[in-house]
Amino acid sequence: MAGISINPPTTLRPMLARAVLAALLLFATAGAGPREDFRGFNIVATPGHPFGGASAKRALDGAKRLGATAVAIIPFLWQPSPSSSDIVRGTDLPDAALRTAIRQARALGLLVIVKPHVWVPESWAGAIAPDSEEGWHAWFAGYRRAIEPIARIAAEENADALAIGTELTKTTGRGEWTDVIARARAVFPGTLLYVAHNADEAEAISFWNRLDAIGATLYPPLGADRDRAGRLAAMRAAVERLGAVAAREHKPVVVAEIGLRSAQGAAAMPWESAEERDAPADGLLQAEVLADWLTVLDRPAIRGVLIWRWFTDPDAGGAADTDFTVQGKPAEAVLRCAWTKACGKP
Amino acid sequence: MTSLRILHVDDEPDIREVVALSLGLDPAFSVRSCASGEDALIAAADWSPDMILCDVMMPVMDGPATLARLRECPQTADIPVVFMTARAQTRELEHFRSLGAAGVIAKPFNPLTLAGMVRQYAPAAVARRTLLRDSFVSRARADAATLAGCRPGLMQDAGGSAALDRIGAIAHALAGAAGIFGFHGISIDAAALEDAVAMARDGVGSLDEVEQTLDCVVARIDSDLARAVNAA
Repeated sequence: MAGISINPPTTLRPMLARAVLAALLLFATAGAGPREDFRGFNIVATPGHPFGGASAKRALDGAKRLGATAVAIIPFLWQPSPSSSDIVRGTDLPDAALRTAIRQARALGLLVIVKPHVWVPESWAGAIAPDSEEGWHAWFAGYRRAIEPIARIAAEENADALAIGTELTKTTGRGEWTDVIARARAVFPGTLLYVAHNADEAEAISFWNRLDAIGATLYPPLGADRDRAGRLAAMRAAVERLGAVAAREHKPVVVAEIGLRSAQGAAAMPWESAEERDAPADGLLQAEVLADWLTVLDRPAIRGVLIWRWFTDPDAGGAADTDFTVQGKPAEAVLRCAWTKACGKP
Repeated sequence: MTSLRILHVDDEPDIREVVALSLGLDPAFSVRSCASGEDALIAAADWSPDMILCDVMMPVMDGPATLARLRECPQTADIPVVFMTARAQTRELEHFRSLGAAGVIAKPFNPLTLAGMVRQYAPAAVARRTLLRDSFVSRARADAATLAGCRPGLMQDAGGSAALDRIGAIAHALAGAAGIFGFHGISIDAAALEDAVAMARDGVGSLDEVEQTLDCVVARIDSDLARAVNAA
């Protein structure tokens, strides 16, 4: 019998070495990314229902019962206009409240992403662009000052992930992000990500290699409410593009926001808030769209999906409500089936 | 027409909640849930559902065993039973139908279309409900006549005790059944009569009150049944 050598032929050794190296690199990259899938909600504190209280616990328990494994907790930063450099921490979730929020969610066994948002009155984070070079320097200095304590608290309270920014579309071409990331990395040992606005921003960002995961919000126009084929096509196109970024960067993707109002006409403009347009409630539309999103996003590169949004008021939402929250609406049944697999239990 | 009463039986609490949420989307249904075949037998006799959605694989008493026990009881024998199961191959469907199931809903189910699937089996439930309702209307008319006939007896024997027993029994049955078939006014008045009888028996109420309440029940039966016949 001829001996079977376990040593590869000499000519194959360089190839094998490269494959082993590639596997090690892939493993190292994967190790820095999220260890478990983040699926759940962006939690927003409702006045009168602070984190740490009994009603917020009931609300978080409700989210968990649907199968949520994670929550995004959102400290707000604030600036008076898109061109302003006067960015400061908002007063809605001060340090102590942020600590309490992380502790309460973690005590319930939920993974926590700390996900700061910048609030710009009558505008949005994606419009932020100081109008001079000095303005940019001042803005980044202010942003770092606001983010660093958040990163420190996230680290001290063992949050699982930290988004260094959310939908700051016009800022992410700037080189200052390297420094923001380095400073966050110096204090926060968990998964670091940035949350891009749709695939457009995700494709344009050049600093993914400094982060552990690619974050994105997904609010593409989804067409007429009952045009399911058109909606699925729009969703698939967005997810394909994100998948391509993930493949290029060798990073997992966390879809940090999907959602739409439970209101007629919401599919065409899923980003639209209830304050922008009066419309009759349509909980079924919201449920159908989220069901389609979860189906389209069910792919290996997607390591997290967080729904926008869930309130700390456990009685928020309901059939007549037209906000984004899914509480008390048909979408709860969809999420529960998707996340707990309850509908398939024998 | 009042909503169809659906009794859902599943040992998995997650599924019970999702089914309640899903069927709750359709105003045509009112839903109760229970966690075992044993509980289902009690709930079916007590609540008189129009249809039972029953899990197949449950500990102790599985779906087929539950169906068999329901069929043994005259009160529940003809309630349409729809199985919900992950075993929904053609051969298994035939087997479940041979046991007497009205249909099968496959798992995993879509929570947004479940109500529509249940609606497919509604005609059988509605037909049964109509038969039972017609039977209730006939019985209620007979009960009204019997109650009116009992009225003179209240003053005749010792404290009207035999008449009170009879009136109390009729009022109790009417109070339960009338609600099931949507005659809520009759149900409420009959419950008041049952209370009046109990108080008269205990010496805290008077026979006059029983008489007045009885008259209300008889008048209510006459008016509500006449209205229902006209509406039909």
